[in-house]
Amino acid sequence: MGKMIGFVEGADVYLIIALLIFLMVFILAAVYMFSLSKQQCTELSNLPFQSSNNENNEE
Amino acid sequence: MQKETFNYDNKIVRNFGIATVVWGLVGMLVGVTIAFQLFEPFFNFNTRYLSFGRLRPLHTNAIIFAFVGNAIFMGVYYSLQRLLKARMFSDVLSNIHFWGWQLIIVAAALTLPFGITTSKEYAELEWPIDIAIALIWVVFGWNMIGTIFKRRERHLYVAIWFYLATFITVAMLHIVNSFALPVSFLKSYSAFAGVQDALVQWWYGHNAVAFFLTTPFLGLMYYFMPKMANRPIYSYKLSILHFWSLIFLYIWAGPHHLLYTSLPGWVQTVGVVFSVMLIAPSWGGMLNGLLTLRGAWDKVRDDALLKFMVVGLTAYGMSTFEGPMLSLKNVNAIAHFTDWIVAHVHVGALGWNGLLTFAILYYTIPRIYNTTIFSKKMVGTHFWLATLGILFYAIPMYFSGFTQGLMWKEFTADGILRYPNFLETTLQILPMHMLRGFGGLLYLTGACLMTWNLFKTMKAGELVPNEAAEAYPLVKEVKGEVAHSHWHRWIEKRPTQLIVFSLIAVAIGGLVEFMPTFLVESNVPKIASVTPYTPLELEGRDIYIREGCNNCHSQQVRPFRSETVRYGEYSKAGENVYDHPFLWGSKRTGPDLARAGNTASKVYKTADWHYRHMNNPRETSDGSIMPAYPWLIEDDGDYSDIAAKISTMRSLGVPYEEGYEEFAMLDLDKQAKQISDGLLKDAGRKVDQKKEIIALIAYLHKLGRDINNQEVASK
Repeated sequence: MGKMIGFVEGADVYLIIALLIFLMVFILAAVYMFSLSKQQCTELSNLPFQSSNNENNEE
Repeated sequence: MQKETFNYDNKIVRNFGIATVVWGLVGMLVGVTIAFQLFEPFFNFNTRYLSFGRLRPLHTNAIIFAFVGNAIFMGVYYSLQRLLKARMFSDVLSNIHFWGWQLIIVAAALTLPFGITTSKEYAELEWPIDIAIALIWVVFGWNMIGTIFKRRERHLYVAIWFYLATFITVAMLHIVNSFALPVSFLKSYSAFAGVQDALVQWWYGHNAVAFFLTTPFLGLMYYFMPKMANRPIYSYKLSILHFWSLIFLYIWAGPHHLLYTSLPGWVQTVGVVFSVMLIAPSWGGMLNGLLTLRGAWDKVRDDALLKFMVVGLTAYGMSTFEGPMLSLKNVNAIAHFTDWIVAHVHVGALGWNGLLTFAILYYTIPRIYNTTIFSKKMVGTHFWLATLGILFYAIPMYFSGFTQGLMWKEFTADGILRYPNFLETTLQILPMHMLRGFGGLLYLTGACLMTWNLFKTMKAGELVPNEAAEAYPLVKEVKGEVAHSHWHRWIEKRPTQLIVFSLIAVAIGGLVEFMPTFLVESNVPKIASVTPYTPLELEGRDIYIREGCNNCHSQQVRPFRSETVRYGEYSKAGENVYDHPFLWGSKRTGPDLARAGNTASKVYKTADWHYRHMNNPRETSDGSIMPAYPWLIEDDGDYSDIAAKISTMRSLGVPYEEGYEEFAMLDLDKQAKQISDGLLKDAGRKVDQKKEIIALIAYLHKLGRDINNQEVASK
């Protein structure tokens, strides 16, 4: 892969910038993901069940 | 603290629901019609308004923007109110949104069959309609964001992040891709040319799939899947990683639609890398949905709605595995321009979007009518009809795609093309096209069954237009509380910041790809022998666009021996610098036409051949499935806008001399007379020079002519 990129003139800079930016976003999201407590997750994932009324009509 | 009472607006949900069903039936009916046209030209009904080139964009627009679009709005209006514990921000905005969107769809249905089109895939609508789309989209966003600001729930559930990302990204994509200069009220030329137009178009085209067909549906999945399964989403953590990775990666992948074209190589490589990486967040979403059913798979056996969701999510997983695979250059070399792509797209559209939409309709309509579904059995039958329809559609199309790709590339032991006549490859796949038509018919039958079932459900119940609800008002946060909370919890409470961060995430990819291609001149080397179109050629090009020829014929010879032997010299970026818009196409139902005017090419045909072919394709090519275009022979061309067209093109950078508008008509007549005289001299055929066929012949004979025996001189 590295060899192929090296042969495309000027491509290396754009690819490396692109990958670095993505890596940054991905690491930030991953760090947050792992630091989230179980209680917070449960609370957030239950949000759709807090609405009221005739949503639970059985078919 | 006292609870507040308020109402959910169910009427707007009902309206969008009905629109989804009605436009869905229309879009699918048009789809079945054009599927039949692809094995039996009779189904073009010998009328210009129903020919394949004009109906295909109508089908794609009807399905994407009318069926799926209305389904998105139905699901968003239903779930947003409940997730935020608030009525929509403004009933007036809701109604403007609803009626505005329906008017846009009607405008599309009235213009596309008349050949009023920009030719850019999934963005065919002309500039006044584009402006209307932008305005109505803003109304939708205004209403959604307004509701978020008056919410009674502090946290924005993950579904709402997807809705916000959809709003902001679609706005950006639509506005940039619609940059055009009007010639008249219903005619414009793209602001971009050639390779740059291609890059912008497929940045838009790919991300229309991403941010219109994928992210809003992921949002809907995150709301409706837990509700239908009556259990929370499998992993909220995964949803966070999935969201940010998906919106960031998707935007870069557009160039995989242009592999082996004259797009700069480094842009293609960036597109491939990000397409391959995209599989991770895509499957993150699919697995999160499917694993929500962990420990409750027994429910799927009895609940048809969950069946729709499971098969829909599986289809999403299959198409998002296939997308990255098709982005690999060696796979793309065989698959691109074939029916494989059609199969890929329809697994996503029929499976992911269609089945989820059906499930959401079956879920919401009985609830807002305070009743139960009319017939559960019919829902089950619909599920099987739809699933079988997808299988009958996709499997023959895969088979057809492999067959085409391999036949186009096969050489004999002597080193010559085994199937030099393109038509041989077309005739080989007709049985697969018939099976595909049958699959489409099954799917449409299922949708008709659903319509009846929902109609009876509505009749049995009564709409609850204002559904009463109550919730505690939102209390202002104490400063210390914010300081201790996590940064993502911070952003989850703040829609403005969430929008800004999402915009940054999606804008980075586009900017990195666009800026160098637009600013660095070496990306598009000019070719000295390539000249602007003559007035007659320009008019011929507009006829080509009007008839939607680009839906079946590409104009891009890829640098493969199988293509250069079949068509001639491979395409270069410098050939298209005056092409507003570019017309590279994405499918080869017929042969590539990039070298149609190059006398050294095997695809070159005489003016008389084109005349006979357009009048009746079966006369020159036995068994051809191309529609006949007798009106091109019967009708006089309307060239009254030629001066405006020349002037507009000059404004876009095409080097017509100042004041050429005054002489354009004289030049047009002169060239038309030459072609008309040539037809009389060479074939004894008397054709009035005013006829449209003359302009089309002029255009077809321009294609690739400039590099005929040329010395390519890169500036």
